[in-house]
Amino acid sequence: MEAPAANVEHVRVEDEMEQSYIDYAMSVIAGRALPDVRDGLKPVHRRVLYAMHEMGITSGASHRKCSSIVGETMGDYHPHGDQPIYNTLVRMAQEFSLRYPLVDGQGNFGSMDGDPPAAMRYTEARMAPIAEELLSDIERDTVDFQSNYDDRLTEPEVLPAKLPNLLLNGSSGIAVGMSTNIPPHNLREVVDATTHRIDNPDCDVEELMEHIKGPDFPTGASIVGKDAIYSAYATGRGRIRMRAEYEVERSESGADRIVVRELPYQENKARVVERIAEDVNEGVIEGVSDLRDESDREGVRIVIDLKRGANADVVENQLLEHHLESTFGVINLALVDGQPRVLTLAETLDHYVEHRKEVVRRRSKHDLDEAKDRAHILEGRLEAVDKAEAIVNLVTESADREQAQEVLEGNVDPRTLDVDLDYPEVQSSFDFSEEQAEHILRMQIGSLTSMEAGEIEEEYEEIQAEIEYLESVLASEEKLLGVIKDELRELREKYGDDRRTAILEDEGEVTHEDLIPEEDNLVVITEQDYIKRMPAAEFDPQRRGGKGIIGSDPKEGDRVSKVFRANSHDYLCCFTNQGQVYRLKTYEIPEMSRTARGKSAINLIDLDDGEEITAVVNTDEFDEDECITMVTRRGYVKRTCVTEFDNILSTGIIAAKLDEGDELVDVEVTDGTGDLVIATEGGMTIRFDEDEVREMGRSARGVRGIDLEAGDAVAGMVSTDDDDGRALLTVTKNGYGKRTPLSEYRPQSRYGKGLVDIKTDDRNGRVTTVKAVEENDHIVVMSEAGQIMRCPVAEISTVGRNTKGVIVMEVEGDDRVASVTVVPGDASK
Amino acid sequence: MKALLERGHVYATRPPLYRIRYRGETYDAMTDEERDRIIAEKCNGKPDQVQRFKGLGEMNPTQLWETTMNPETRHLKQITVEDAAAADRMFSVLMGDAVEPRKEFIKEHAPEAEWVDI
Repeated sequence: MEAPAANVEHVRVEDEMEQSYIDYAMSVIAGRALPDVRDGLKPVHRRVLYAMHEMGITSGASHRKCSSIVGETMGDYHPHGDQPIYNTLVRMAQEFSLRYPLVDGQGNFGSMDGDPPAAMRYTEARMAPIAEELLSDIERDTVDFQSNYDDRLTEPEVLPAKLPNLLLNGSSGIAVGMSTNIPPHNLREVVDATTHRIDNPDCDVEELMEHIKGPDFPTGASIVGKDAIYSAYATGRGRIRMRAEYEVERSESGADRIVVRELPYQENKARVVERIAEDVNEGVIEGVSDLRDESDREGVRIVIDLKRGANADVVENQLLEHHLESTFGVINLALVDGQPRVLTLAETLDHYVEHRKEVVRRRSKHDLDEAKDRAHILEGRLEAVDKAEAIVNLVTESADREQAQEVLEGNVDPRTLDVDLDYPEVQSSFDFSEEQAEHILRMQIGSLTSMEAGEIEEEYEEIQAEIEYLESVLASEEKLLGVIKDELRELREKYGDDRRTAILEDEGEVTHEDLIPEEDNLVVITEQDYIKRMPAAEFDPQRRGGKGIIGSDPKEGDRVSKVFRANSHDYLCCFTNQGQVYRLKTYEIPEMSRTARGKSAINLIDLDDGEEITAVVNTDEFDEDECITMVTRRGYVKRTCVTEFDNILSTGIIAAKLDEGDELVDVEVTDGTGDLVIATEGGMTIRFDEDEVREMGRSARGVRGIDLEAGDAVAGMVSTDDDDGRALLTVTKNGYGKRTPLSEYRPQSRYGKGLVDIKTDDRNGRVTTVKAVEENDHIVVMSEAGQIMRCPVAEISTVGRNTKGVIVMEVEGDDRVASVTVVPGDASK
Repeated sequence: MKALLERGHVYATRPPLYRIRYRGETYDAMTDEERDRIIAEKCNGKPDQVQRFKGLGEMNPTQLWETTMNPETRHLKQITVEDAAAADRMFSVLMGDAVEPRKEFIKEHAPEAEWVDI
């Protein structure tokens, strides 16, 4: 590229990035994604409504094509895409999206099932009456206007908003580095709280909550628990639990049904039905014989028929847990003076009241100016009627209109003019203003009748009263607030309706433990932290050497990292490669089908990037004098008393300090009397007395357990007693394995090179892990690509140490064995 | 991308924000201040037309040539890498997986925003 000489500035990439990013971020925050606290609208909403206002598409006008509204909005005010504008228009018309729709739509505006609206060339719209209340008085100098994007027109910076729209309709939006999510509310309650706040500016949240019971969603349903509502109002944040409205219809014949009539806000009905169907088909929800969506134009109706004899309570609870409840995470973030702020309920109301004070003050000032102008004209007319003859005489005698006007204004003494006047005294004393003089000269002769004079008198008195009233409003804050309250109450009468969302007491955190069958589960985790559990009983034992069946479906680029057995009621300690430990109840892990990928573990465990669960132990098995024994990839081993793991925070705690680059590989619960066997990827093992590793605190690094060859790393560890009769099962990456009695591994001293366990040649590949197994155990082997196989240990013949082993599971292509776990053979199947 | 930056091959174009027409003459302005100055000094305060470019798509091919392409008249910013580590840090704050540093960055630098599009 030829070097451009002139007009080239040099800028460092980080500076350019910084400046561009902050410009972009602030544009989105202040100009796109967040609503203004005063009118509850984002710019795109405001522009659509203002464009409709300018087009005269009020609630009394006939509907107009949405395409023309979108076109006007885009061409005059909003230089963005047509689809986002149309989506905004559509959403404002959806009765299930806005508690008080601002647009009255004609045609197909989409459905709760997520059906899209008809194209904008088919649909029509006009303002809903309530939208006119947001715009009302906009012509009366109530708000500031700014230039539109091409400096051709002006647009309002905010609407006068006769109603507190931010609370009525709520808002949601994702900006950069922050987002907002404000629930809708009931109009009567919001008006009551606003007027209460005006009268009691120091009132607290409890008082406000006597009026505003909580959010009121357009789709009805109910809210469970008042704590979250309180938190949302007191702090601006809270997680509100919404629950569908349903009935359990008991029937004589024993086949009950559950009928859902209302869904939580923003739930897609079709998807809810689909998800229930999935869970029924996969056996997660049992006892359902039929599922139908009987919703029609009258409303929602999802019917769930139960099998004869099915326990309705169990099904109901399962439905509640997975499908009929959802959370509305309140973030009451709005723009205050162009700056994003998280607001309490009281602050939200205060900002609205301040806005209304400004609007009503400016409107009163504007009206007062107009009234004074009118009074001034009327004064002139009254005087003109009084001096009618003199004026008529002046006009008829004047050379032209200008001359007459000059005399009326008292600029010219008529006696100096060459005219013949009948009332020179009166006519030379005229002192009308310019406006009055003009008006008089435009008066019709007929308006000089005495009847019309009486009417002028009357109007003048009315205007005087109005001036007095407006001046009093402007002079008294109390009166100004009175006007605001009166107007709010008027709209409360006009638009108020009953609350749709019921607010229920929380019957205490429902734990579903009693409803969850106690069974062995297989938990599968992928490298990218997708996690799920499946009942172990779903997997039939297979002969060794097969390919297994699909046990997970990791997405492109992801792979299975760990499979382990856990009872559904177990309280697990999950150790990660980074030496952290977290707690988890097995049943909190979503139970999903064999072919499912799993859910992101982020909701369960707060794992860092690159952090993986490498070992899991069940805390129910803990005895106070037992130890957690850990081994790292580089061969460090340490023991820490289980009591040190009593208080595991939700963000995890440290279990072992690791050298840079080292990882925690395996964990065993031991009682201090046995031996440890550490196995390496290269096929070496070392067995030594556990006592050789003294107990240490959680944050210690440990001592060396095995002297690794260069390039070798620890694969796993088991603990054993002298004569427990178990065997060491070794499985390699390529799916080969062998079983050797643990007694064949002779105890040595800690930190030796150890003995050869298995040959890690090209056929076998390196060692995946080792397990201590009994004769009637089953093992579950899982590959990185998600193939899973359950195989009785007895299938794998017992051989001596330092042998090659046999094929356990056939792995195809570049797939490898990811993980192995042991399932008791007699527990199920 | 990194190699392109290091070799100085990456430029940002700086098309004018406004085009002002007055009595057959056209003037380009890069900023609001420049626009106001041109209107006051060159147009007697009464320009015939002020056009605000919202994107390159708004320009005719000749306009695009004059404002953005012509080496004689265009304005460019050459994006350079002087301190690769500093650049790296900035990229990971702005586009990395962690949200917190980004939030902090926005909070800290919010007042420095120049071209806020409202």
